[in-house]
Amino acid sequence: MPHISPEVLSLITSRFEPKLVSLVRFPRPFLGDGLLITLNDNADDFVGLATAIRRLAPKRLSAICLKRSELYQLAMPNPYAIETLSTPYWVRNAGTLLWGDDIRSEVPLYKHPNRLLAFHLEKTIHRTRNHFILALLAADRYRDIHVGLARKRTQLMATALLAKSIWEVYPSTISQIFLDAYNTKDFRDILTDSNKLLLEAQGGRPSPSWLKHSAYRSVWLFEMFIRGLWRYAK
Amino acid sequence: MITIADYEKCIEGFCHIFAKLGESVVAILLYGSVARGRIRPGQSDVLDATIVLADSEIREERRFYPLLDVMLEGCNHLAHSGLPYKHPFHYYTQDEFCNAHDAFYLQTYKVDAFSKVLAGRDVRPTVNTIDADFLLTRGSFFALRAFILQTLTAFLAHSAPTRPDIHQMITAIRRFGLYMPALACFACGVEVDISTALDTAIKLFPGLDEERLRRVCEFRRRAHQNVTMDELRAMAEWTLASAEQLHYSVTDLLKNYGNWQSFLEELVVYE
Repeated sequence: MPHISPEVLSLITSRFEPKLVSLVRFPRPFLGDGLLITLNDNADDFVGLATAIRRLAPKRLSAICLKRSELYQLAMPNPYAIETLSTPYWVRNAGTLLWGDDIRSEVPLYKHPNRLLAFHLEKTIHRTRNHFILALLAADRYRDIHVGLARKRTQLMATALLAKSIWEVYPSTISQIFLDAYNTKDFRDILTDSNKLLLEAQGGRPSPSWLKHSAYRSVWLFEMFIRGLWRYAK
Repeated sequence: MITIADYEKCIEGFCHIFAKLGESVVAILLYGSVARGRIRPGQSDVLDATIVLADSEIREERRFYPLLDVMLEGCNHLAHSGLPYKHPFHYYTQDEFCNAHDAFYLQTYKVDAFSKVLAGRDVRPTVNTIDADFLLTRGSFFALRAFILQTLTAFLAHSAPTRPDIHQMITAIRRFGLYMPALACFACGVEVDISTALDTAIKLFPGLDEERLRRVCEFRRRAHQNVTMDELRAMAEWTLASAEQLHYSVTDLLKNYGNWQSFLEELVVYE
């Protein structure tokens, strides 16, 4: 995880101590690491404080600033940053307390993680097909289709695993963990074929017609992946 | 000069393209300003549409590729219409439309004034979502507030923001303008169509700084290339102030009149 030097930590805590409750650093394997800054509920000028602390914290850390009584917001689903659904799990279970009160157990989790999968699928159907699939195909961006759909598939796998209370997944392990948890021939075939298409599209110099056909097939496989997940979300 | 007739002609051509799919297309639905009869020629997006397909169309690979070809022909038609074209249309299977629609957009189809049928059957009365109690959509307001706060304070904290920082910041303000008033209404159990969300929110939360909120929401319509860094910073500050005011109003209303504790208990667990 990115380092916060003792000097920076000391600077933040000494300057904001009466209003600062806690600093927790946490990993997020698909997003980059985060810093949870928790402030007192009675802290005045919350936005100004959050900005001032953010100014001192390392830029490479994605800093989330909340009041103590607002920590529940980490467990609310953001439809416009769907990849952050696992954040509360990482804060609670893998976060490191850098300073102050240990608020990690005050970060709640979703009560019904299985509902998140339906939520994620509904958002995917609504937005990915038009803003991503049709937009890229219409622009002949066939290679980008493979890469983008692989990312979206990974996000869906992560949410499907949350439905089974599995949160600790990494880019190198997620496919296997998903197939262990959702062990069907359809999913195995879809992932194998999609990965093969991705590798072929990235390597060598495939012809434009092959690229177009492989992009179409990749889209269809993605549709089948969505359809497969529906069975578990309904 | 672009006229309403240009929009009508483009829509006619669009329907003509999909007519070749015959029974595979269950319905073509229109929403947005064109459906509401509020076209601003030259400004309104050419076509906010949803294509509802027969369930088998996506499942069978051999039928899916010709379908994609027709949909891309539809995209090209819109892109080359000479009218403002921001994004392609949505496509759903009938099963998805009727059982798994994004809860945030249900009002668009439930209320006749916000959408209309361009072709095929009127499937709008059957539109539905899995999340029957809208709990996650209600909770999304708070997630978006935290996200806006995170993105905009990061932007304001850095004296020399990079191009990606600026892009992220503009995206966050656009999202605020498009979604935050609607999500604020949803959070309080009031379903709205996006087009009426701002006015509904202003009525629902009387203490809001209306002028500032309207200016922030209007920002998404501006061409951002010509906006100076000082204007961007001011807009980031206004957006943050509006977000915090909305957040305060929503929690206040829920705590005073809604059942805040049970709302939270339905969403999260502390184990």
